[in-house]
Amino acid sequence: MPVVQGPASDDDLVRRYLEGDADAFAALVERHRDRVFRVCLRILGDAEDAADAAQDAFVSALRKLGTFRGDALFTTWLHRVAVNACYDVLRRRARQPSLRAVGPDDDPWPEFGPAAPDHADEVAGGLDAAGALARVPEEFRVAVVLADVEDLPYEEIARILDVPVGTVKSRVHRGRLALARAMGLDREPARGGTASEEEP
Amino acid sequence: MTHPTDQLVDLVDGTLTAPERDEVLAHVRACARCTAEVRAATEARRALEALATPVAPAGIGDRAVAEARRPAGTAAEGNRWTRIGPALGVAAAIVLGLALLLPSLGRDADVATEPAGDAAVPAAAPAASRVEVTDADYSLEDVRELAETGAAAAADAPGGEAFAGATSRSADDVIGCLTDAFRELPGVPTRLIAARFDGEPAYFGVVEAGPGAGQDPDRRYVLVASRPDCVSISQTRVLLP
Repeated sequence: MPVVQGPASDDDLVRRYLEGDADAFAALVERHRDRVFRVCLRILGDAEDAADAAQDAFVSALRKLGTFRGDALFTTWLHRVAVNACYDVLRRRARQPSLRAVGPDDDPWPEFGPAAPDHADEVAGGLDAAGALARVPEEFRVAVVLADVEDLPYEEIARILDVPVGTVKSRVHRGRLALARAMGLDREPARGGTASEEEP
Repeated sequence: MTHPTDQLVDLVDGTLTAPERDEVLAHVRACARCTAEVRAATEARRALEALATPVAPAGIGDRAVAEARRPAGTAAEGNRWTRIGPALGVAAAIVLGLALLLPSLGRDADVATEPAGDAAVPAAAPAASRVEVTDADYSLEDVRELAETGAAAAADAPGGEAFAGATSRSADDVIGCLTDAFRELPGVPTRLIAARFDGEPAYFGVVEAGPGAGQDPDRRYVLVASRPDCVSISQTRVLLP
């Protein structure tokens, strides 16, 4: 039975769910639904894939909730779960050729199969930020989405991605540069400077 | 001086103290590349922050909520596979029936379990309760064959020894791994194999699914997940006659 009296903290809801209150989990989903979808949309660049990944993320979160420790922020933990769900979709896309081995015929199991067919960048040139993100290498894209779309502190991103803070910053920087390039923002009037080049 | 990426990020983020900022700016002014980078990164950050905030479409999370509300132990038609042991038991009875339908592998004596033999085991033992460990290296062709026949003739890698790490995995571990990789198993896992796929260590799950209600399975899947990180590598589906 719902025991709703004022906004409970995420931790409270987690605890209540683990004590058997399914409504508490529903409240968590309600609270974080937009956030999870947004992360997935920006990482995957495709609304349908993002909906799939977000759906998966919540199922995965539900099943792993018992492993959530109160010492991390629930949002950090949930971001991690969401990012992993996105990575799954990205890997499935990358493996598309082998996934298609049997033939993409009438799959009676649509929610399981490979993600929707390629959704190439619709617009060539003059990409907006959302479209340009697709051009940013995956690793940098995830970091930059967490930093600049989600506005998470680098320490938190480091926990989400399980890498050192320095690595996060470097990925964010490279992600931003790649995005600027894809958007054509890096072609500022040259002041005798060279365009930014990749460097190891 | 090398290009101070860390400080450039802080500069773009505006998180430096005044003295720190002065120091970084001194470098940036003298470095055309850093100047260009700071400008581009600042623009990119601004563009990202200006992105509209999407609203999740209806239904996101509903599947999880439905699962949360489902009373424990009432897995829907063998579709709910978790690392929790008891869930295995739920489908055990169904699987034991299916096991008889599967041709046995019998390819590698010390490795393959005989499905028919399993069926003789007391009903408490779930099907695919053990993991077949083999050095075989499956190609995509082999996987297809595995899907079509339920057995496969992958070339054994030299050695023939079960490789370290795989042997200790229980069926639960492997099912958990496949579940991580593929969200949900589409049906009942009838075989679990630890082997290689294109040289990569992998778990293979042979999964059968059908219309339910005690009817014969009509589809067989082979799901391949990398080991030990449980990433989906390949999935193949065949319709059964």
